[in-house]
Amino acid sequence: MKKRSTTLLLFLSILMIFITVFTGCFEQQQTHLDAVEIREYQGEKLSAVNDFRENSIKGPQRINRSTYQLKITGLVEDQINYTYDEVLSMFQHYKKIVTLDCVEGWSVKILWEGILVRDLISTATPDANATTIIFKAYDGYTTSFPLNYTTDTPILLAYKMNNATLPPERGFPFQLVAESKWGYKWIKWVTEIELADNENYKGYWESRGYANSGNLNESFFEQ
Amino acid sequence: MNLLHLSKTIIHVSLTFVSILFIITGLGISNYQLIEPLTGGALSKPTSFQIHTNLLIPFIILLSVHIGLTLGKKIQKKISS
Repeated sequence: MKKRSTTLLLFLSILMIFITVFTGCFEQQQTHLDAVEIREYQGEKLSAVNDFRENSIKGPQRINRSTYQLKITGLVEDQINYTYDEVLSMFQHYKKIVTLDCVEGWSVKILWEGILVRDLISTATPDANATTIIFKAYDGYTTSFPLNYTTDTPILLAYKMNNATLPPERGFPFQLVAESKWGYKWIKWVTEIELADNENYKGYWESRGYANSGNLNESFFEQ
Repeated sequence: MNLLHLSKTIIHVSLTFVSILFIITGLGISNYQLIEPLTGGALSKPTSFQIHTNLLIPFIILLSVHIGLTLGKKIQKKISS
Protein backbone atom coordinates (compact mmCIF):
# COMPACT_ATOMS: atom_id res chain seq x y z
CA MET A 1 0.00 0.00 0.00
CA LYS A 2 2.85 2.27 1.00
CA LYS A 3 4.72 1.32 -2.21
CA ARG A 4 1.69 2.24 -4.33
CA SER A 5 1.40 5.62 -2.65
CA THR A 6 5.10 6.29 -3.23
CA THR A 7 4.77 5.34 -6.92
CA LEU A 8 1.73 7.60 -7.30
CA LEU A 9 3.55 10.46 -5.56
CA LEU A 10 6.57 9.93 -7.81
CA PHE A 11 4.34 9.90 -10.92
CA LEU A 12 2.59 13.12 -9.86
CA SER A 13 5.94 14.78 -9.15
CA ILE A 14 7.23 13.87 -12.62
CA LEU A 15 3.96 15.12 -14.14
CA MET A 16 4.30 18.43 -12.27
CA ILE A 17 7.90 18.83 -13.48
CA PHE A 18 6.78 18.19 -17.07
CA ILE A 19 3.94 20.70 -16.78
CA THR A 20 6.27 23.31 -15.28
CA VAL A 21 8.93 22.77 -17.97
CA PHE A 22 6.44 22.85 -20.84
CA THR A 23 4.65 25.89 -19.45
CA GLY A 24 8.04 27.57 -19.30
CA CYS A 25 8.65 26.69 -22.95
CA PHE A 26 5.28 28.09 -23.97
CA GLU A 27 5.88 31.26 -21.99
CA GLN A 28 9.04 31.88 -23.99
CA GLN A 29 7.12 31.58 -27.26
CA GLN A 30 4.06 33.49 -26.16
CA THR A 31 2.70 36.22 -28.34
CA HIS A 32 0.76 39.23 -27.20
CA LEU A 33 -2.92 38.38 -27.12
CA ASP A 34 -5.47 41.05 -27.76
CA ALA A 35 -7.97 42.22 -25.18
CA VAL A 36 -11.21 40.29 -24.94
CA GLU A 37 -14.21 41.88 -26.57
CA ILE A 38 -16.28 44.01 -24.22
CA ARG A 39 -20.09 44.08 -24.32
CA GLU A 40 -20.72 47.16 -22.23
CA TYR A 41 -19.07 50.57 -22.22
CA GLN A 42 -19.83 53.37 -19.77
CA GLY A 43 -23.18 51.78 -18.98
CA GLU A 44 -24.16 51.30 -22.60
CA LYS A 45 -24.85 47.80 -23.89
CA LEU A 46 -22.91 46.90 -27.05
CA SER A 47 -23.56 44.41 -29.80
CA ALA A 48 -21.17 41.50 -30.29
CA VAL A 49 -18.54 41.28 -33.02
CA ASN A 50 -20.39 38.17 -34.22
CA ASP A 51 -23.68 40.06 -34.59
CA PHE A 52 -22.52 41.30 -38.01
CA ARG A 53 -23.70 39.44 -41.10
CA GLU A 54 -21.12 38.58 -43.69
CA ASN A 55 -22.15 40.41 -46.87
CA SER A 56 -18.89 41.57 -48.40
CA ILE A 57 -18.40 41.31 -52.16
CA LYS A 58 -15.63 38.70 -52.11
CA GLY A 59 -15.80 37.28 -48.60
CA PRO A 60 -13.42 38.03 -45.71
CA GLN A 61 -9.96 39.22 -46.76
CA ARG A 62 -6.81 38.22 -44.91
CA ILE A 63 -4.20 40.97 -44.94
CA ASN A 64 -0.64 40.46 -43.76
CA ARG A 65 0.08 43.01 -41.07
CA SER A 66 3.82 43.11 -41.81
CA THR A 67 3.42 43.87 -45.52
CA TYR A 68 0.33 46.06 -45.27
CA GLN A 69 0.53 49.62 -46.60
CA LEU A 70 -2.07 52.35 -46.40
CA LYS A 71 -1.64 54.68 -49.36
CA ILE A 72 -2.81 58.27 -49.54
CA THR A 73 -2.93 59.25 -53.18
CA GLY A 74 -4.55 61.57 -55.71
CA LEU A 75 -4.77 65.32 -55.28
CA VAL A 76 -2.26 65.65 -52.45
CA GLU A 77 1.09 67.37 -52.24
CA ASP A 78 2.82 64.31 -50.79
CA GLN A 79 1.70 60.82 -51.64
CA ILE A 80 2.28 58.81 -48.49
CA ASN A 81 2.44 55.12 -47.66
CA TYR A 82 1.95 54.14 -44.04
CA THR A 83 2.54 50.77 -42.46
CA TYR A 84 0.01 49.43 -39.98
CA ASP A 85 2.27 50.22 -37.03
CA GLU A 86 2.98 53.73 -38.31
CA VAL A 87 -0.74 54.51 -38.51
CA LEU A 88 -1.22 53.31 -34.96
CA SER A 89 1.80 55.10 -33.54
CA MET A 90 1.71 58.43 -35.40
CA PHE A 91 -1.85 59.56 -34.78
CA GLN A 92 -3.99 60.25 -31.77
CA HIS A 93 -6.46 57.49 -30.89
CA TYR A 94 -10.16 58.04 -30.31
CA LYS A 95 -13.01 55.90 -29.01
CA LYS A 96 -16.63 56.27 -29.96
CA ILE A 97 -19.84 54.22 -29.84
CA VAL A 98 -21.46 54.27 -33.26
CA THR A 99 -24.29 52.12 -34.65
CA LEU A 100 -23.93 50.57 -38.08
CA ASP A 101 -27.25 50.29 -39.91
CA CYS A 102 -27.23 47.89 -42.83
CA VAL A 103 -29.64 48.28 -45.75
CA GLU A 104 -30.54 44.61 -45.15
CA GLY A 105 -32.36 45.67 -42.00
CA TRP A 106 -29.97 44.70 -39.20
CA SER A 107 -27.88 47.01 -37.06
CA VAL A 108 -25.04 46.74 -34.53
CA LYS A 109 -23.92 49.13 -31.81
CA ILE A 110 -20.15 48.94 -31.41
CA LEU A 111 -17.43 50.75 -29.50
CA TRP A 112 -14.96 51.75 -32.21
CA GLU A 113 -11.37 52.77 -31.62
CA GLY A 114 -9.36 54.40 -34.34
CA ILE A 115 -7.72 57.47 -35.74
CA LEU A 116 -9.37 60.42 -37.39
CA VAL A 117 -9.45 60.39 -41.18
CA ARG A 118 -8.82 64.14 -41.23
CA ASP A 119 -5.62 63.69 -39.18
CA LEU A 120 -4.46 61.05 -41.62
CA ILE A 121 -5.11 63.01 -44.81
CA SER A 122 -3.77 66.28 -43.42
CA THR A 123 -0.29 64.74 -43.32
CA ALA A 124 -0.41 64.41 -47.12
CA THR A 125 -1.54 68.06 -47.53
CA PRO A 126 -4.66 67.87 -49.71
CA ASP A 127 -4.78 69.97 -52.87
CA ALA A 128 -7.24 72.88 -52.88
CA ASN A 129 -9.03 71.29 -55.86
CA ALA A 130 -9.80 68.09 -53.98
CA THR A 131 -13.54 67.74 -53.37
CA THR A 132 -14.01 64.00 -53.01
CA ILE A 133 -12.43 61.35 -50.85
CA ILE A 134 -12.39 57.85 -52.30
CA PHE A 135 -11.71 54.83 -50.10
CA LYS A 136 -10.41 51.68 -51.75
CA ALA A 137 -10.28 48.22 -50.23
CA TYR A 138 -8.15 45.13 -50.64
CA ASP A 139 -10.99 43.23 -52.33
CA GLY A 140 -11.62 45.94 -54.94
CA TYR A 141 -14.53 47.53 -53.09
CA THR A 142 -14.70 51.32 -53.25
CA THR A 143 -16.85 54.09 -51.84
CA SER A 144 -16.62 57.86 -51.76
CA PHE A 145 -17.72 60.91 -49.78
CA PRO A 146 -17.55 64.66 -50.22
CA LEU A 147 -14.19 65.65 -48.72
CA ASN A 148 -15.85 67.92 -46.15
CA TYR A 149 -17.63 64.90 -44.65
CA THR A 150 -14.29 63.71 -43.30
CA THR A 151 -12.78 67.12 -42.59
CA ASP A 152 -15.76 68.74 -40.84
CA THR A 153 -16.75 65.71 -38.75
CA PRO A 154 -14.56 63.41 -36.64
CA ILE A 155 -14.82 60.32 -38.82
CA LEU A 156 -12.87 57.33 -37.52
CA LEU A 157 -10.76 54.86 -39.38
CA ALA A 158 -11.09 52.05 -36.86
CA TYR A 159 -8.60 49.36 -35.96
CA LYS A 160 -10.44 48.06 -32.89
CA MET A 161 -14.01 47.18 -32.14
CA ASN A 162 -15.30 46.53 -28.61
CA ASN A 163 -11.70 46.83 -27.38
CA ALA A 164 -10.42 43.99 -29.59
CA THR A 165 -8.40 44.35 -32.78
CA LEU A 166 -10.60 44.02 -35.87
CA PRO A 167 -10.73 40.39 -36.94
CA PRO A 168 -10.20 39.70 -40.69
CA GLU A 169 -13.95 39.13 -41.12
CA ARG A 170 -14.62 42.63 -39.82
CA GLY A 171 -12.09 44.46 -41.93
CA PHE A 172 -8.61 44.12 -40.43
CA PRO A 173 -6.57 46.28 -40.55
CA PHE A 174 -8.94 49.24 -40.94
CA GLN A 175 -12.65 49.82 -41.28
CA LEU A 176 -14.20 53.20 -41.89
CA VAL A 177 -16.75 54.24 -39.27
CA ALA A 178 -18.99 56.22 -41.60
CA GLU A 179 -21.41 57.47 -38.97
CA SER A 180 -24.81 58.71 -40.15
CA LYS A 181 -24.33 56.70 -43.35
CA TRP A 182 -25.77 53.35 -44.48
CA GLY A 183 -23.62 50.28 -43.91
CA TYR A 184 -22.40 50.05 -47.53
CA LYS A 185 -20.40 53.23 -46.86
CA TRP A 186 -18.52 51.54 -44.00
CA ILE A 187 -15.71 50.19 -46.16
CA LYS A 188 -13.56 47.38 -44.70
CA TRP A 189 -9.98 46.30 -45.47
CA VAL A 190 -9.04 49.88 -46.45
CA THR A 191 -5.78 49.99 -48.41
CA GLU A 192 -5.95 53.34 -50.18
CA ILE A 193 -7.42 56.79 -49.67
CA GLU A 194 -7.55 58.86 -52.82
CA LEU A 195 -8.42 62.52 -52.99
CA ALA A 196 -10.08 63.57 -56.23
CA ASP A 197 -12.02 66.39 -57.85
CA ASN A 198 -14.67 64.07 -59.30
CA GLU A 199 -17.83 64.70 -57.27
CA ASN A 200 -19.74 62.19 -59.37
CA TYR A 201 -17.44 59.28 -58.55
CA LYS A 202 -19.48 56.19 -57.77
CA GLY A 203 -18.25 53.32 -55.66
CA TYR A 204 -19.08 49.62 -55.92
CA TRP A 205 -22.72 49.66 -54.75
CA GLU A 206 -23.29 53.25 -55.78
CA SER A 207 -22.61 52.32 -59.42
CA ARG A 208 -25.17 49.52 -59.01
CA GLY A 209 -28.06 51.74 -57.94
CA TYR A 210 -27.41 52.72 -54.33
CA ALA A 211 -27.43 56.39 -53.38
CA ASN A 212 -24.06 58.11 -53.55
CA SER A 213 -24.79 60.16 -50.43
CA GLY A 214 -25.70 57.07 -48.39
CA ASN A 215 -27.32 59.24 -45.74
CA LEU A 216 -29.18 57.27 -43.08
CA ASN A 217 -32.13 59.67 -43.09
CA GLU A 218 -32.66 59.13 -46.84
CA SER A 219 -33.52 56.13 -48.99
CA PHE A 220 -30.50 54.08 -50.00
CA PHE A 221 -31.85 53.81 -53.53
CA GLU A 222 -30.65 56.40 -56.02
CA GLN A 223 -33.54 58.88 -56.39
CA MET B 1 -69.89 30.59 -60.89
CA ASN B 2 -67.33 30.20 -63.65
CA LEU B 3 -66.20 33.76 -63.11
CA LEU B 4 -65.72 33.10 -59.37
CA HIS B 5 -63.77 29.96 -60.14
CA LEU B 6 -61.59 31.85 -62.62
CA SER B 7 -60.97 34.64 -60.09
CA LYS B 8 -59.97 32.08 -57.47
CA THR B 9 -57.56 30.41 -59.87
CA ILE B 10 -56.02 33.78 -60.81
CA ILE B 11 -55.63 34.68 -57.10
CA HIS B 12 -54.05 31.34 -56.21
CA VAL B 13 -51.68 31.28 -59.18
CA SER B 14 -50.71 34.94 -58.60
CA LEU B 15 -50.08 34.27 -54.92
CA THR B 16 -47.87 31.30 -55.77
CA PHE B 17 -45.92 33.36 -58.30
CA VAL B 18 -45.57 36.37 -55.97
CA SER B 19 -44.56 34.13 -53.03
CA ILE B 20 -41.82 32.44 -55.07
CA LEU B 21 -40.57 35.79 -56.37
CA PHE B 22 -40.71 37.22 -52.83
CA ILE B 23 -38.52 34.37 -51.53
CA ILE B 24 -36.05 34.53 -54.44
CA THR B 25 -35.63 38.31 -54.16
CA GLY B 26 -35.23 37.93 -50.40
CA LEU B 27 -32.41 35.50 -51.08
CA GLY B 28 -31.12 37.96 -53.67
CA ILE B 29 -30.62 40.43 -50.82
CA SER B 30 -29.12 38.17 -48.18
CA ASN B 31 -27.27 35.78 -50.53
CA TYR B 32 -26.58 38.00 -53.50
CA GLN B 33 -23.19 36.35 -54.05
CA LEU B 34 -25.11 33.19 -55.04
CA ILE B 35 -28.33 34.52 -56.61
CA GLU B 36 -26.69 37.11 -58.90
CA PRO B 37 -24.56 34.60 -60.85
CA LEU B 38 -27.38 32.03 -60.82
CA THR B 39 -29.70 34.51 -62.56
CA GLY B 40 -27.02 35.64 -64.99
CA GLY B 41 -26.72 39.01 -63.29
CA ALA B 42 -30.42 39.80 -63.76
CA LEU B 43 -31.17 39.70 -60.05
CA SER B 44 -28.49 41.87 -58.49
CA LYS B 45 -28.75 42.99 -54.86
CA PRO B 46 -30.19 46.45 -55.65
CA THR B 47 -32.68 44.94 -58.14
CA SER B 48 -33.70 42.32 -55.58
CA PHE B 49 -34.22 45.09 -53.04
CA GLN B 50 -36.44 47.07 -55.41
CA ILE B 51 -38.56 44.04 -56.39
CA HIS B 52 -38.76 42.70 -52.83
CA THR B 53 -39.86 46.08 -51.44
CA ASN B 54 -42.44 46.62 -54.19
CA LEU B 55 -43.82 43.09 -53.80
CA LEU B 56 -44.71 43.43 -50.13
CA ILE B 57 -48.11 45.13 -50.58
CA PRO B 58 -49.28 42.91 -53.50
CA PHE B 59 -48.19 39.87 -51.47
CA ILE B 60 -50.22 40.96 -48.42
CA ILE B 61 -53.29 41.76 -50.57
CA LEU B 62 -53.14 38.44 -52.43
CA LEU B 63 -52.57 36.50 -49.22
CA SER B 64 -55.53 38.22 -47.53
CA VAL B 65 -57.83 37.52 -50.49
CA HIS B 66 -56.60 33.92 -50.61
CA ILE B 67 -57.29 33.43 -46.88
CA GLY B 68 -60.68 35.15 -47.27
CA LEU B 69 -61.70 32.91 -50.16
CA THR B 70 -60.58 29.73 -48.38
CA LEU B 71 -62.31 30.63 -45.11
CA GLY B 72 -65.45 31.75 -46.99
CA LYS B 73 -65.62 28.41 -48.73
CA LYS B 74 -65.27 26.54 -45.43
CA ILE B 75 -67.93 28.66 -43.71
CA GLN B 76 -70.28 28.14 -46.67
CA LYS B 77 -69.75 24.37 -46.44
CA LYS B 78 -70.51 24.36 -42.71
CA ILE B 79 -73.71 26.34 -43.19
CA SER B 80 -74.92 24.11 -46.00
CA SER B 81 -74.18 20.92 -44.04
